[in-house]
Formats: sequence, C-alpha cells, structure tokens
Amino acid sequence: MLVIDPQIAFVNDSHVGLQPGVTSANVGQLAIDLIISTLHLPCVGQLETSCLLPCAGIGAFDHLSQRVSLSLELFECPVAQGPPVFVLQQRAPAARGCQRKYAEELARWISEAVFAEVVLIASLDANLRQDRQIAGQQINYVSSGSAAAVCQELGWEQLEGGLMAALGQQQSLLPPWTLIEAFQHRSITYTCVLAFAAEGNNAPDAMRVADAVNQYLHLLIQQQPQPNGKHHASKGVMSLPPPWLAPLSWKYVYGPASSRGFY
Amino acid sequence: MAASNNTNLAHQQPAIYWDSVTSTSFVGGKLHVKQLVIATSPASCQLLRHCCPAQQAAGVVMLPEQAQGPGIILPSPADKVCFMYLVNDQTGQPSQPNALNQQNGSSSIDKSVFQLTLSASAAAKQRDCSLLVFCQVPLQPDRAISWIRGLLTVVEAQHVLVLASLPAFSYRGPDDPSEEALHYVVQTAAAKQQSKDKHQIPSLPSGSLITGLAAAAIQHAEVRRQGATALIGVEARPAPDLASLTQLAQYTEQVLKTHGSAFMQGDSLLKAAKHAEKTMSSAATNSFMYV
Repeated sequence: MLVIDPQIAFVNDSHVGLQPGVTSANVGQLAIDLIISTLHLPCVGQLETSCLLPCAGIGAFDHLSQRVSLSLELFECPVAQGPPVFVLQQRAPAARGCQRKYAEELARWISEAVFAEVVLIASLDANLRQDRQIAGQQINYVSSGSAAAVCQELGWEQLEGGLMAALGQQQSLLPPWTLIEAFQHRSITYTCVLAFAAEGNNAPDAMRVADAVNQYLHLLIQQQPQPNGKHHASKGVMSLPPPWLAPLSWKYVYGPASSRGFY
Repeated sequence: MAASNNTNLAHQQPAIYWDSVTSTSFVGGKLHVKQLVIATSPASCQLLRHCCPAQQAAGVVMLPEQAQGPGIILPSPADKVCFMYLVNDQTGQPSQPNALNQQNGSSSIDKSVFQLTLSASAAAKQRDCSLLVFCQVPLQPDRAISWIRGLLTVVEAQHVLVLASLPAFSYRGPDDPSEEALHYVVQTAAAKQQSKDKHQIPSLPSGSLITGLAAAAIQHAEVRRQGATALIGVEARPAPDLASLTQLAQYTEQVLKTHGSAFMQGDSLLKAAKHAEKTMSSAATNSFMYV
C-alpha cells in the first residue's frame, strides 16, 4: 500500500502528473532529475511502498542539499500558464514479482488524486530501432487521449503498432507497459514519451527528453542569456548546455577526478 | 503463479519471538526502548558483540524462508536468525526487566493495581534500555521493508540506529575508500532535531545511495517523521582493518551520545575494535586457505 507524507490535498482535478518509467538507460529518471534541478522544484511529499526496493541518499539537488532522498518523491512545479504539474521521481526499481502490483498501486493513487493527465517518460533500447529511425527525431509517443494531435505537431512519431504489440507482449511485466496497462484499466489519460537510447552516458538523451517534455508541458521560461554569454551552472557539477542544470548527485557519477600527482 | 508467490513473500513480515522475561515487559503490545541499534554488516556485528557481551538473547527475528537448524540452544554468529539483546542504556550491561517483578511482587497487592504499576514502571525501566539487533544474515533487498516494518510494529524506540556498509563500487564521492577508512551518516530530519549535540560525522556524499535494511529503516522513519540514523561504512576490502573498525566504534559512540545513550564508550571501544579485527581477519584468512 502506498503511504504518503504529508497527505496532499489536490485542490482541483486539472493538475498534471509527470513521472518516469524505470527502463533501460534510465533516461526518464535522468530527465526528471534535470527538470527538478533546473526549476528548483520543492519536494511536497515522500511516498513509501513495499513494492519498490528501498534506497536513501542525501542532497540529490543543490536546493535540497540537506534533505534525505527516498525511492519515491513528489515535487510540485508551479506553471505560469496552465494546470499545476506534479513531478514524481522514482529512484529504485520494483521488487521481484511486484511490477504489476506497484503499477496498480500507483494507478490507484493517481486515480484518487484525480490527475487530468499523466505524462510518463521512458526509454526504449536503441537496438529496437528500424533503419529509418536511426537518424533524426528519437522521440516516439503512445497516448490515450486527445494529446496525439499535440504530439504530432511537436514532430514526435507514434510508436508503431507492431512494435508496441511486440514489446507489450515480450516485456509485459516491465515498465512502461505495466504502468500503461494499469492506467488503461483505470481510464487514466496518459501520454508516454519514449526515447530510443543505448546504455552509457545518457545525459544527452535525458536533455533531449527533457526538452521534449518542456515543449509539451511548457515548464520552462526561456532562460535569459548571461552577460558573458555563459550559462550559470553549479560549481563543479557536470556542465550541460542551457537551459538545463545538472543536479548535485551527478557530480561524481564517473568517480572523483584523478589525482594530479599521477602526472 | 511465480510472480504472485514472489509478491506474497516480499510482503510477508518476519516472525519475532521473545523470551519469557522480555515478553512480560511489553506495554501496549510493544517493547519500549530508548535506542534500537540494528547491526547489519559483519564489521558492526562483531564490534557490537565485543562491546556489549550480553549472553542471554531477549528475542529472535526470523524470516519464514530462512532455513532453521534442529534447535537453537545458544546464540551463535553462525545461526541464520537475527538475535536481539537488551542492554542497559548507560552501562551496556545486560538488562533484566524481570528484576522489577521480583522487587514489587506481593500477594497482598491488588492485582490490577500491581499490573498497572508494573506496566508504568516497566515502561520507565525499558526506556533506560537499548535493544541491539544482530542482523548477521544477509537479507535480500526486497525483504528489507517488511523486515523493518515487522520489527517496528513490536518495538518502539526513541531513536533507531542502523550500522551498515556500502560496497566501494557503489560509492560516489570525493574520497578514495581504498586509501582511508570512510564512514558517513544518513539522518532523518527528526533525528537531526532530536540530537542534543551535533556530531562531527560527515554526511553521505550526494550521488551515493544506500540500500537494504538501512535504507528501509531511514525510509520508514522519514515518511513517519521519526528519528533514525544510518551509519554507513564504505567497504573496500574483504575484512576491515583496525583503523576502519576503530572509526566505526568512535562514530557509533558519537551518534549514541548525541541521543543520550552511553553504553559504548571509553577504552572498551578500542579493545572491541581490536577483538573484532582479529576475529574477522582470521575468518577471512581461513576462507582463502580453502579456495
């Protein structure tokens, strides 16, 4: 059962949920990290479920450097125009045999919170691409509602029915398919943003997906260029092209710098 | 079928058995203690064992799937269950909750009053006790949450301290675990407010994540706004050296002191670290001899 602290009262039913699916290359989670870090989103709740493996750390983001980070956390994104967006960050995979149960628990909570729409970010193995997909736009989508038109305008391609059916069958117990199935079962309006990515340094993939989500949800106000032409970035943290700021937790992802004494 | 079996197993809480003495001390169905200290790494189990040589187990935590021997006669580090010991919070000596029964027992006292008085006094006495849990069995990560929930259903502590380890390959931080002993803390917000003085132990660097029982305890406490601290040692070799064990002992003492407990202190710490280092290095040597 999902336990959430504090109990959040969602005022109206027009808010939008944004969450990652834990998939290969972890692009969804990385993109969510970028969004939270860049927008300095406040954490409004922490969730606990026995379906996810437990994990804990400290100071995932610059603006939350003293806070304990858990497996599942909820952030609020105030949006200037449009409904508020709640961002769910998931840091741990589901426990053995609990993928479907977790998807059902999450779908039940989303249904009770009456989200108008859920945007799910996930990645697909780059080996699944067909020849014509190797170059160009790497963003595909699967949508339940009227968002298909918006996605088409943004230049995204709908995931082919054949590939979707094959993946839905082969990976039926893996996200994002478990989540999509649970959302469909509860008639939750969703849009799944899928990016082809290979395992490795997936920061560029995360930026690409974060850009796509930003175009869809209009999260960012365009950053004003700095007088010296450089974009502000946290000191010592991975430097990314604007407007994205890498979170503090990415600083040592490749280990500390080599000792100068070696040279 | 296999998936649903796994789901059921993941949610199954452990069986917890108490000895007859401890079970009479429960108040409101719970054992109330000052500190709950859970040792989950081999280094912390050995260290606590040498620091607080309590002989009589107060209870045992057992997961349903763990194999059992023919019978538990005397607790042993080789057993596949987790033993629990009650110690006096200030001296570290074994705690005897039944002593109170013997002091106040009288046939002329109305039993209901006796029980009420005993319960209130028992609660007061228990708050001077700390419960040490030796989780000497490696626990699957997906069992950690139900294990912690099961334990915290029957034990109420003012503060929970988990001693755990992090493999060096999972460590993300500025220091080199192969060059120096590294220990860090992860504290809930309530634990920071509870601690009377600040300790000098560094916080886990951003980017490193703890998993397993330590993470489950922190998660359980943080969501419920309770006090919990995880003291994490970065393991870079099969058996920790004396410097690492001494640092672990000193940091454990510091954390306990900031929460009002003093059962680990002074010269006993260094002796315990030396004993633990000797035990663990001989075990590591023996295992290599038979490869």
